[in-house]
Amino acid sequence: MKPVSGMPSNQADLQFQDAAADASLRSQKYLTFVLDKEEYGLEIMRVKEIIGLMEITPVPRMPDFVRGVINLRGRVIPVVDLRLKFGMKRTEDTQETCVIVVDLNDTLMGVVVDRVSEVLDVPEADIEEAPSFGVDLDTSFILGMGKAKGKVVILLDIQEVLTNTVNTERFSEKQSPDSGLVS
Amino acid sequence: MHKEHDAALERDLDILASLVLDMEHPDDHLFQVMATITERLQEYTLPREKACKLARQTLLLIQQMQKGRLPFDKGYAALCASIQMLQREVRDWALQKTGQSPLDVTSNMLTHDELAQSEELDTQPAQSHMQTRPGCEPKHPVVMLDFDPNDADSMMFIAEVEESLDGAEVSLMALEKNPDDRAHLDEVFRCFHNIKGVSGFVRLDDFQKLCHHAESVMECTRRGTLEFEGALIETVFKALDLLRKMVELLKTSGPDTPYKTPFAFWDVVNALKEHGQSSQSENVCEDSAKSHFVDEPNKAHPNTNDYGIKVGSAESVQSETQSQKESNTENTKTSSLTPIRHQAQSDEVVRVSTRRLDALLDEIGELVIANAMVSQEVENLRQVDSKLVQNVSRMNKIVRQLQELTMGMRMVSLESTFNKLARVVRDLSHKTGVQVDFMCDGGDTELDRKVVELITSPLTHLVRNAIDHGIEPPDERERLGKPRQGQIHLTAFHQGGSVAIRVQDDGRGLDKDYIARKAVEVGLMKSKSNLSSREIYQFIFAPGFSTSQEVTDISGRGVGMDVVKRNIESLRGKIDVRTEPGKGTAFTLWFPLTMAIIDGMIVTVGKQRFIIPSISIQESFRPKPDGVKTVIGKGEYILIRGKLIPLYRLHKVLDIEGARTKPWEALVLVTYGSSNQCGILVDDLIGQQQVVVKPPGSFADEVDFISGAAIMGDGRVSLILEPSQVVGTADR
Repeated sequence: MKPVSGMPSNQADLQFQDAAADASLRSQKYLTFVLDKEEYGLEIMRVKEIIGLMEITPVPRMPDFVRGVINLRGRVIPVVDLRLKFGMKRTEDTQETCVIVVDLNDTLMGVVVDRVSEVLDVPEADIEEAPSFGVDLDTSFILGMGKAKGKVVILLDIQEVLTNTVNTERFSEKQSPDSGLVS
Repeated sequence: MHKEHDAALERDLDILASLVLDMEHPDDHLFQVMATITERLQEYTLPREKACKLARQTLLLIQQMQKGRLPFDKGYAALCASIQMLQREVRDWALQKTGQSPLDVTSNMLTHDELAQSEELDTQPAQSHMQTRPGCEPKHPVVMLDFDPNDADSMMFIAEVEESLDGAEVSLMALEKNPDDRAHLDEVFRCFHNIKGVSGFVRLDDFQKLCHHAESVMECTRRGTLEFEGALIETVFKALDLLRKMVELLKTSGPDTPYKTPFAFWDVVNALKEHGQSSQSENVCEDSAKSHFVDEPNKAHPNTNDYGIKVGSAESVQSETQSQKESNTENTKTSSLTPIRHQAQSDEVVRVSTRRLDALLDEIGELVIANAMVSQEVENLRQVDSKLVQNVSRMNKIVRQLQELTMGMRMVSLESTFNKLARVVRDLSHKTGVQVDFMCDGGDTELDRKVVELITSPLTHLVRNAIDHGIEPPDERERLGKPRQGQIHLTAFHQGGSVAIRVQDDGRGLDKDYIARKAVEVGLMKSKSNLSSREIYQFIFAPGFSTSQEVTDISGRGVGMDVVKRNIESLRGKIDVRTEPGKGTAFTLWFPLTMAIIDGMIVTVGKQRFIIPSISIQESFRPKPDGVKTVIGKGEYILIRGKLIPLYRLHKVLDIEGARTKPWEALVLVTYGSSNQCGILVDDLIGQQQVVVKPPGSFADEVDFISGAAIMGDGRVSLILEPSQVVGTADR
């Protein structure tokens, strides 16, 4: 994948306007987490809590990325393995593997990630539009690319990722050849 | 001064004024409406002598014109002037200017004498009558414009009216079939009477007035002076509908959107009046009820008769005395009846918001789980303390009772829904000319309150479809060798842990070929797909498929079926259709007992644990090796008491690894599939437990065979399976 700075300048301008238009969509603080060495962010406002991995009840006949359901203090919530959702390889759960509980307009859902890293402040100005990976790839689930502390974080629209039937699995296929956004 | 009186007064005046302005082709009906409004005006304006006089004058004018005693052109100008003056007077009044009203008798005005001459009626007594009670409270409290639907009293009122309406409707439908049924006649009368009583209580004039007239008519029919037949029944139905509408208006009314008298109000009132008048002993009935009505709130003056103008003519002197006698007895009846009823009701019923009830239910659910956990721990204790065991089992018992109680609180019977549908059938068959025999079974089946509330619209749709498109017109039916009268059979029953409701007709059935053709056209299927009839019929539920008018005309079904399906699914229910060309169609709806705490069997398959509602398991057994048969091309069967039933392996259906594959080492649960008995193979049965059904969360809630989730004693989640759907999934 090309670094963000490699984009043609006129396109960047255009996107700057777009960014201003949907500024409300982008809150300032993002919780970042790691999936297969790559760092992603999701709006902190969406995050309800972070819990350690517990026993997950599998749900039969579900796509792979749905790990199952858990009991969150009396509520049954589904848990999605983001690795599998993005078509990455399944790995053994580790001590650091955890579940981020996100709030999607009053529906709670758990997201399994490799590791939670930090809460990152990304000023509006430092968010760039998601580059298009090709005509046939829907990137609507990416809010933008956030630049902070000398790294680039893929900011996810977690609602879009979890509820839309967009084929996010192809996302990693495109990404894998030169895995890692910043190298 | 009473604000609401003023508002109602102004509103009525406005109506009157606009009626006069539109009076190009006056007819009897219009005059009647105007007279009714003016009568009301007169009541409102009682405390103001001048306004009252003007109102009386207006009423006289109207009546004279109606009777043709006053030529229209002459009367019209006078009427306009009179109304204008009345308006001015009222406006001044509203501005609280107690001084002289700026009144000039215009040249158009008729003098009192002229009026008095044209009618051989002496206005003097009535006038002096007025003077005896200056400044007294208007007898008739008017529509409460600040009626607050959330207020406890108002809620009570609404509930009571609705209850009465439901009762009246059922009886009325019964009466239609058998007009001589005295009990039902009394019931309808009692309902109107009751609504009248309670609306007096909350001071709703419209309700009182309408019910009063309806009551009068019913009274006549009870006495046998009026025959209860077609047109009258229709009018009474209309009155019920109107009352319902008025209740709806009240419910939605608020400070910003005050209740307004519906447009149809006067039509219905007048229709009722006409019926009352057509009765032979009209005066007796009308007046008895009327004076009762008028006198009721003002018992201090039992002899006042404000309808002096109207009934003051010589012809009804006799009836007047009679009416007073009657009104007195009636009075004592109502005054003792209404409060008692109220008291009894408030003793028995407490209205609680569903939100609070739900909270209680959730909490009880948690208690059940906690209780299960404790019981389990106690069982696991090595040293058994008999006292502890005793106490725990006591607690178990209490918790179980609590649970049953709270569960029952949310359940209501389908009776009222069925009655509503009966009404739909009646109205539609009248309209379309299709003759329908509507039968209901299982109205006492109970379902979650929320489900029952939301179930009416999809059911109505199905019933409507059945009449509109399913059942053929009588002639066509005769040609086809069917009885002229079509049948719609509505049944509710329990099936496998859910409640099923079936709408069945004996009409023409779905046109499979047409649906298939249409599906190809719309692009839902390929032209040469080899789909089963069942799958083809499913297309009627597809969105977009239904909108075509042609489908409606030819195959019958379709309009909005996708909406019906969506509605039902939003209640976590399911819908299925079976049809036989020429013989009829049956739609079956299944609703889970949502929110319920179910009795579940805990089974294991591989490493996974599932709950199957005990209610849907008939028995379980371990088969013998020679009891398992494989029928080529049809799958496995299992022998039970000499009968072969299909066997479904849960691990295969659910795609679970590590399960026991030899049936004779595992366990077979006998259950009901969509229609017949079948067996489900599980590894083991590890216990039976009451569990709280929770929504299984997104993703899982899209799976047919998962009806919910439950949190077990160890805090983990188990999924609740619906066996009939497991079988259905396997069959697809």
